[in-house]
This record gives sequence, C-alpha cells and structure tokens, in this order.
Amino acid sequence: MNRPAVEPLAEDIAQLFAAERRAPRPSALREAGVFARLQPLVGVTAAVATGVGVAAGTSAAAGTTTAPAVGGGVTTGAATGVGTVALPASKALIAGVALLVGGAGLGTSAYLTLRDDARKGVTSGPTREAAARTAVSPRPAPVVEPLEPSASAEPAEALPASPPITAPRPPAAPMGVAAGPTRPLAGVGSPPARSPASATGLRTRSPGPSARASASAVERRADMAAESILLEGARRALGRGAVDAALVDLDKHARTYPEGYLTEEREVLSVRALALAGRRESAERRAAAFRRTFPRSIQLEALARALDAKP
Amino acid sequence: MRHEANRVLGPPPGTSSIDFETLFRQQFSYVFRTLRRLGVRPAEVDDLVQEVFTVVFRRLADYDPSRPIEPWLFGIAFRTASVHRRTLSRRIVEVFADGDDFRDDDATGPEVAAADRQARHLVLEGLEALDLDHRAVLILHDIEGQVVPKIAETLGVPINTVYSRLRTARAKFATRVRRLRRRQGEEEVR
Repeated sequence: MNRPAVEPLAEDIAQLFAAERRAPRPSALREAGVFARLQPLVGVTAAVATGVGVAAGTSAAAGTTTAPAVGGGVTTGAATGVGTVALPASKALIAGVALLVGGAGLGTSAYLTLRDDARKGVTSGPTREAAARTAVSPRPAPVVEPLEPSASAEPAEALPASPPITAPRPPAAPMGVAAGPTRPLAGVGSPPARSPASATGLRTRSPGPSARASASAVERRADMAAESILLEGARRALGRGAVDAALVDLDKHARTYPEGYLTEEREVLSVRALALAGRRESAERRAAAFRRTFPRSIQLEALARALDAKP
Repeated sequence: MRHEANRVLGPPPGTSSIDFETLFRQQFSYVFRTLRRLGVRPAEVDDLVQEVFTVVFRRLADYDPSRPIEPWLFGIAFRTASVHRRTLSRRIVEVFADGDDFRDDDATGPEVAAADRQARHLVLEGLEALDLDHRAVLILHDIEGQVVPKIAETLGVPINTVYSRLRTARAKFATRVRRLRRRQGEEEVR
C-alpha cells in the first residue's frame, strides 16, 4: 500500500519501447555462427570440436572472454593459415572445416533449416546422440589471439584480382576447397550468370521444407555451416575494424564457395569491407554487380548501407 | 516437475544435445536482444551470447521448468554483461560511428520500416544514460512488461528498490532520448 504506483509512460517513450519490442530476429547467419561456436560444448567428438575451433577462431578472438574449447595450439595454427591466402598454407583451416563436416555442421545448419520450426517447438533434427554422449565439456580456455595476418598487406588487392575461373559448386565443400581457386562473384564487374535454381538455393532465410534427409541435404548443411563460420569470422573482423582480416575471410569464402548458399551475405560484407578500406570504386563496382545478379535480394537495403560505410 | 524439465531441456550428462539446440533456437533472439539492451556493443555481442548459452548449457539442470525461462536467461545475461562491463568494454574500440549495419542487428529487409529501426536505435542510445542496474529494471518493466514483484525476484533486490530504480531510469532515459531527438532536429520536445 505504501508502494508508489507506477505511472504510465509518456506516449512518445511508449512508442519507442513498442518499436523495440517489435525488433526482428537477428540474422540467421549470426545465429548459425554463434551456434557453430557452441558446438564443442554441446556435444561433438573432440576431433570435430577441433575443427570448429579452427574455423571459429580464425578472426574472432578480439574481445573474447571465454570461447569454449578452442584448442590453443590449433587456434594458433589457424591464425597462420588464415593469414595466408595461398592455398597450401591454409591447409589447417581446410582440415578444420573438413572435420567440421563430420558433425558440427549438421547441427548448425540443421538449425538453419529448421529455424522457423523452432517457434512451434519442433524438436526434429539430425540425431546426434552418439556425438552427444561423447560430449566434451571443456572449461573456457584463454583464446590465443590470432595475429593480424601478416600476409594481409595483399589480400585487399587479392580480392578482386582472383583468378577468373568458374567452377561448379563443389559437391562436398571441404574437398572442393583443395580443388583450386574459383572466382569471387563480382571482382571484375561482370557478374557470373546464375541459374534461377542456384539463386533459390542461396536463400538461407527461406530454407524450404526441412525434412530432406538425403545425402545431399547433409552435404548442403555441412556446406552452410562451413560457409557461415567463414563469414562469421569476416563479420566479426569488420566489427573490430580489422578490414584486411575480413577481406581474407571473404576472399576465402569467394574462392571456396563461388556459388555458395551465403553468397549474397558475403557480397554485402565485401562491399562494406571495401568501403571501409576506402576502396570506393571497387565497392561501387561490386555493389553494381550485386544489384545486377540479385535484383530482388532481401539484402539490397543492407547493401546500400554497406556502401555508405566510411573508412 | 524437475525430471520433466530434464526430459524436455536435457542438461548435460548422457542426454541429447538436441534439446539444448531447441532451446538455443527458441531463445537466441531473446538473449541477443537482451544483451544489446544491456549495453553490449555490436562487435562484442556474439561473444557474450555464446557465453550466456555456455552457462545455460552447464546450468540447465538448475532451471525450474515450472517457471518461465526468460527471467532465468535474463539473470544469466545480466551477470554476464555485468562481468563483461567491468573487465572488457573499455578495450573495445568503437569502430563504427553510428547508424550502420553493425549497430543494426537484425536481418533487415525492405519490409522493416525505417522508422522502427530508428526508434530501436534511439532506445539503445537512450539506455546508454543508465547504469546496468537501472537498465535492467527499465528493460524488464517497460520493454518486457513484467510486473515489479517478478522483477525484484529476478534481480534479487527489494521491491521498493525496483520502484525507485524504475523512476530514476525512466527520467534519465526520457531526458536523454529527448535530447537526442532535439539534436536530430526532430521537433518532438516533450
């Protein structure tokens, strides 16, 4: 009774809060990235966990207080691997992603696929009991902060200058990685033709019916997981201002998944990275290519904002 | 009750991690948004979301399923943000000045009204006027719409403390928001 009553909010403030309550979900990419980093915790074999550690640790460590189960030594290795664009040197990462496909990827992108079902409490998904039983429950390990890639003096240039080889999307991503470089989408201003089919395949936000339990679906999921980890690394690098490091990851993604599921996301990130690097012309060119290739993309607004980024 | 929770949510030993995955899917958005509201920067938020879910995973057995899960998650997020604030936040360089992609956290499409986004931006900016304790009360009461006794329970403080924090928080928030608006040239004083 002696409690003060809570007064109603002023109208203008109430409206602000209402808008905040309507905040849309964060991006699927972001969600998948975090989930991938939780994989070592929630139950994957040690080997696979290492794989996740490698990939997730690439450019993600600044400001990290705890990152579960990132094996210190492996992370160091990854830092070196990522710092170098040359394929042989990045074997560590490739190996990591390859391991990732073994298990961690399943959860990650299964969840991408099933994301919309989550609200309804659907609990289906790839069964990973075996993995769960061997769950590692590591203590948070101090993350070895990867050095800014020393080879990243070049990668900014390496991005558009990538060899113009088109290749079909590798059936199993990690194997495809070793196959050789492929062309990033928009480096030379003439966007690669993209079949409607593959364009639909890109849509991570409308992943389609969930229960495609074929082998190709598994591969697809693994690819998506590996892709999202790479892009997550790039996004986080950008977030802390490490543009060169971001460009390395983006270039790697472009080479590895020229027609990946997250191509649009990559291109938007690339445009932002180029803009932040002060490479106005490249950013514009790349954005123009994006608009030609994906005229109806949901990312167009994000692209416009990316283009506005100031160094 | 408790054992039922274990069946549904599955804490560590010997249980399926799918359950955790479900929980993650359902609550990622809430945890993410809560951390942002608590003042965690865009560049840091993923790390902290990960940290929160790490704690969630380890403490799943402690969660009482007869109660809503959000306050429990909020408590974990609050403590995580609090520790983080003390140790790390000053280290992080503000890379992006304002209003860009990385402050704007959602998967925005053209369908998301610009006005809404601006309003959310203003909310986060306005919350910057508050310390963590006051933020928490304002978030829980005015954004999440929880009642004061529940908030007191969630935060582990007396009810009257919640009331007084709420009053202070609202005043500071409103002052800052209106100042920001004036600065933006929107004639929306009062």
